[in-house]
Amino acid sequence: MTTARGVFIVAALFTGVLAISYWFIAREPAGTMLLGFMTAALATVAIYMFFAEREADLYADNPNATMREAAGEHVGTYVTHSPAPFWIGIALTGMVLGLVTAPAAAGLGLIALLFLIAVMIVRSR
Amino acid sequence: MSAADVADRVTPPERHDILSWITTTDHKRIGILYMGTTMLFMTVAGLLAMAIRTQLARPGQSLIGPHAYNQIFTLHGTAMIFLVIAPFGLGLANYLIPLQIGAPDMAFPRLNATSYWLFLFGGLIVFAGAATNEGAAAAGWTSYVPLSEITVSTGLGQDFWIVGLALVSVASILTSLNFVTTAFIFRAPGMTMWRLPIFTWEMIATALLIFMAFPSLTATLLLLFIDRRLGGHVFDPAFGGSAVLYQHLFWFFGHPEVYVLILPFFGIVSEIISTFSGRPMFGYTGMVLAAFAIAGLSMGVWAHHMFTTGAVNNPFFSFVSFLIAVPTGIKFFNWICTMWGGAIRYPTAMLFAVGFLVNFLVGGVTGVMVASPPVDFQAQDSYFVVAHFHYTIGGGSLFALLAALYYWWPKVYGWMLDERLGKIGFWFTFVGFNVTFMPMFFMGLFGMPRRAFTYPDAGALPGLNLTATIGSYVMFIGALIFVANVIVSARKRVPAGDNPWNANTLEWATTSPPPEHNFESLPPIRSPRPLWDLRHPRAATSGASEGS
Repeated sequence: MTTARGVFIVAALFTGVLAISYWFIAREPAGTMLLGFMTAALATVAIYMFFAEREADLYADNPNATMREAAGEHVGTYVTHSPAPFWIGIALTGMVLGLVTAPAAAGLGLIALLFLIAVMIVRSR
Repeated sequence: MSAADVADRVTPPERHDILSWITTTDHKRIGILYMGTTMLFMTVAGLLAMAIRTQLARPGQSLIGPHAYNQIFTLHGTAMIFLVIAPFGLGLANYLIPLQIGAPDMAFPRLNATSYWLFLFGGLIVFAGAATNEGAAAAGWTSYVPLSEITVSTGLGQDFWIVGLALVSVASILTSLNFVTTAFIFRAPGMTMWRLPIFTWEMIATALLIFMAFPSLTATLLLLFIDRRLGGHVFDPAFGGSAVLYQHLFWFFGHPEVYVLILPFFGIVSEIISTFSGRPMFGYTGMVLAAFAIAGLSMGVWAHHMFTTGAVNNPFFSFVSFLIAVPTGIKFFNWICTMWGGAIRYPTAMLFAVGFLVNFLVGGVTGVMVASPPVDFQAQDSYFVVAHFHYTIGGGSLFALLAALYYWWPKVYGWMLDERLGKIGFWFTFVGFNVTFMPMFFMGLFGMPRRAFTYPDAGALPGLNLTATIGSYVMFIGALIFVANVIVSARKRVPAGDNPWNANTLEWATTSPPPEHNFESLPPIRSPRPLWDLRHPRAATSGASEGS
């Protein structure tokens, strides 16, 4: 088991035990539900990593790996600038402010947000 | 074609215009934006705190009316917790994590930039509430119901508070996912998990906490919004709702949030103490496990804020709250053991780190006191709690924040801050802080309630309040000295070099400031201290594969 995977597995087990203990000690539904949801969230990641990491072979996890061995590895295309995050921020801000002051503005914000996300997906292909 | 032309095509020169900052996805720039924004928010929140202390300097003053006072302490608390301390940790981690693990950037650069903009706009919305007809939110940073319900807080300010913090909450969750993915996947060859710097480990624990706790905040804000704007009655007992449910949901986020506010700063202090003691971190594994023990236990203590409601199991939450003192004690033990016998240097960063130890100890010990229900029944909603909390987050996190600024400033900007001014500033801040907040313990014991805009002219309260106000002005001078230091040092621009402190983690292996892609070359990584190994190759070889 890699350390990264272990972090999520141990965390999910810990919160699971905490949720069960809490229910038997306090019999209080709100806190038990919250702890239960938290356990489920952690377990979801842990299960994903359990399967995904079977194939993983990171140079970082090899204590004797050298920089030379990892040289030339394809790490994908990196953008250093993109206008999309700023405009997504503006669209979401317009949306939540619209919820408070003018529902039509919230609708516009939502449309703008969906449009920006679609553009970002298309351009990243 | 010359070599320079080829280099220009491979690595285009960095742009520094405003547009380049708005569109940047470089983790270092986003980190600087985060930290710069938190400094601006801290300036506003600090001025609000000065207004509070000025109003309370003498009993019966009416410099600020009660409604304005409610808005001021609400904005002060909200800003310091949601917009200053926590995001400063996230900003510093943005800057440092890829550098400390030998990565070129964060795993999701555009998501990273989106998180920043959501944080900025969310914070601005919270403050914008002050410009609405009835002013800003005035129900405290916890916004308990029914105070925050539409029947009591009728203005738009409370709604601005809700939607603004919802954006900040979403931003924090996205950032935490980015941190965990980056630290797990993007490490350089040889940088095994057990060779990660302590700061990165603390940020993994913090990110896990955010991942677990912040969805509860988002849900709480959504439900409160439904109650206020869409006619819901989730928290209204008159219609079958529950006000106690609000407290459960809020504190399920709120107490882990306290550790989101402190764990990154544990990491900062660990790095600084290790560097300036000239020793590796004592009990590296223990420090990491203690961070996760604190994070895990902090998920089971939320209702110790609700002892006095009579609606929770006090022994359970008291016991788990006491347990947190154990891993925190381990950390203190390790910090002291790291310093013990070391060749300790005391530049400004180290002074602030030691100041952190002193202040946080007071905050921690009084935290154990209020974890006991009989004591908490006396201290609840009194100035004792205000003092405890400020010793933890102000004396703890804020001092570590200043330590971080002095320690990593040379790496970020390439020039040194003035040490003499730094040390003068430290003493003003340290003395001012303690003169401000130590009397508050006694105010609380003498029965002064928190969030009161005035108090009776009787007993020890006038003297204690005046002392606290004088202390706050001394601390304010300390803050001004820091600003002066930045201005003076910016004019002098004393070059920092790559590694001015002789530190051992990977961020010091690159230039100051680092290039856009972070590293021209990386040293071999065979322990948590790759730069020490590089300077002492024979010793490093004899202890090879540490942390594998």
